[in-house]
Amino acid sequence: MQIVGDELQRLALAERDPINFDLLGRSAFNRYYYATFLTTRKTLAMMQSNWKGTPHAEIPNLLKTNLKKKASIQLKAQVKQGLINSAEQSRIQQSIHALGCELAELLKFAYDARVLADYEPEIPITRENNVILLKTHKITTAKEWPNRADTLCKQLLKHWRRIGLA
Amino acid sequence: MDLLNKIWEALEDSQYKDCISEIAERSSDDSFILHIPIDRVSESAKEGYISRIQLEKLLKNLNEKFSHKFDFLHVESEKLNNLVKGIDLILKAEFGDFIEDINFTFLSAEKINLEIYIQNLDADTQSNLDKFIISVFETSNIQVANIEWIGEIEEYPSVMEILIALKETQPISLENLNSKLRLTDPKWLNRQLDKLIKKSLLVRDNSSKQYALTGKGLGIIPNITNNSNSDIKRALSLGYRKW
Repeated sequence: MQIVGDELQRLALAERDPINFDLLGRSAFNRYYYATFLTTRKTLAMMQSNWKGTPHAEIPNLLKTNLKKKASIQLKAQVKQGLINSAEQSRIQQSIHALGCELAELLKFAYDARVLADYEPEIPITRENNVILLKTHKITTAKEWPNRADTLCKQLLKHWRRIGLA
Repeated sequence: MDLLNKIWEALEDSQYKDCISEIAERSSDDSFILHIPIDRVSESAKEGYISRIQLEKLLKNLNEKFSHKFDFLHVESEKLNNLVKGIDLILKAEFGDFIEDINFTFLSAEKINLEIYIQNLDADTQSNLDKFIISVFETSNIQVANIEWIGEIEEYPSVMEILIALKETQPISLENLNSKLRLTDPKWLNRQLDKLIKKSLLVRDNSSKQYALTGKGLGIIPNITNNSNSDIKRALSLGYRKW
C-alpha cells in the first residue's frame, strides 16, 4: 500500500494539470493512511482476534484504554503468582500505555488527513517547495506514517508476547 | 455570527482558549477539530494547560452546546522540538559510540517516549544511558514514559515466555530450550529454571535431565483466543515431532 502512495506522490509532483495534481495528491494521502491503518489492524488482530473488526474511528480509543486494561489484568495476576515484581508490572504497563497512546495519536492525525482527502474536495491540494500539502498535512510526514505505525506495532507486540498474551 | 466565532466565544469563557491554536471545521462528518499544541497538554489539571480529563470534558460540553461532534488533534510544538534537539546533541555527545539515532515523541508537555537505535551497547552502558536520559529530562520536568531500545542487544525472555516455550516443547533439555529461546549462554536460563523449580512451576527429571511444567505451571499460562494460543502451539509441536 505504501508503494502506491509513493507512486501517486511521484505522479502528482510530475503533473502539470491542476485537476490531476489534486486528484493524485489526495489519493496519496489516502493510501498512506490505509497503509497505517492496515498495519495497526493486523497487529490488533494478533493481540486479540475480536479487535480486528474495530471501526476506524474507534481504534485510537481502543489503543488508549483497552490495551492498558487487558495488560493490567494479566500483569496483576503475574505479580500475585510471583512471576514479576510490582516495579516490573508498573514499567511494562507504562510502556504499553505510552506506545498505545503514541499509535493512537498517529492514527487520529492520519485519519484527519484521510477524511479531508476523501470527502472534502473543496479543500485543495497545494504545493510548497515541491512538497504536497493538504491544509496543515504534509505528504512528507504522511509518507512516514506507515513505517512509524509498523515500528510501534512491533514494540507493542513484543510487550504483548512478553506477558503471554500473543 | 458564524458558528466558528461562537465556538471561540464559548472557549473564551472557559480557561482553555490559549491552549487551542486552531479550530478546523470538517464538514464531511459534521465535526470540529481542536488543534492543541502538545506543549499545552498536561498530565493533571494545571493553570495554562489542559489535561486529558479536562479535554474530554471540554469536548463533551462543546458537543452538548453546539450539537456537533468535537474532537482534537495534538500538533507539534516548536518549543519542545527545540528542547529535544538540544537533548539529542547532549546524548550523542556523551554516548555517541552507542547511539545511532533517537526518535522523541511527546505524549504531553510532561511526558515523552523515546526510541533509541543502538550499536555495541552492553548492559552496564545501557543502564547508565537510561539513568542519564531520565535525569536530563527531569531537569525540564518531563517524565520519560517509555524507552524502546532497537538494535543488536541480547534481550532475555520473560518468565512467561519461558513457561510458554516449555509448554510447547516439554519434556526438553536445558540446551534445547536455550536454543528454542535463541539464547547464547545457557547459564542464565539454568538460573531461571532453578528459580521456577523452587516456585513449583516446573520439575526436572534427574535421569533424562529434561524439564517439564507442573500442573501449577500449566495453570498460570494465559488462555488466549488467537493462533498464538499455547495449546495450539503445543499441538503443532507434537505434530512436527519425530516419534
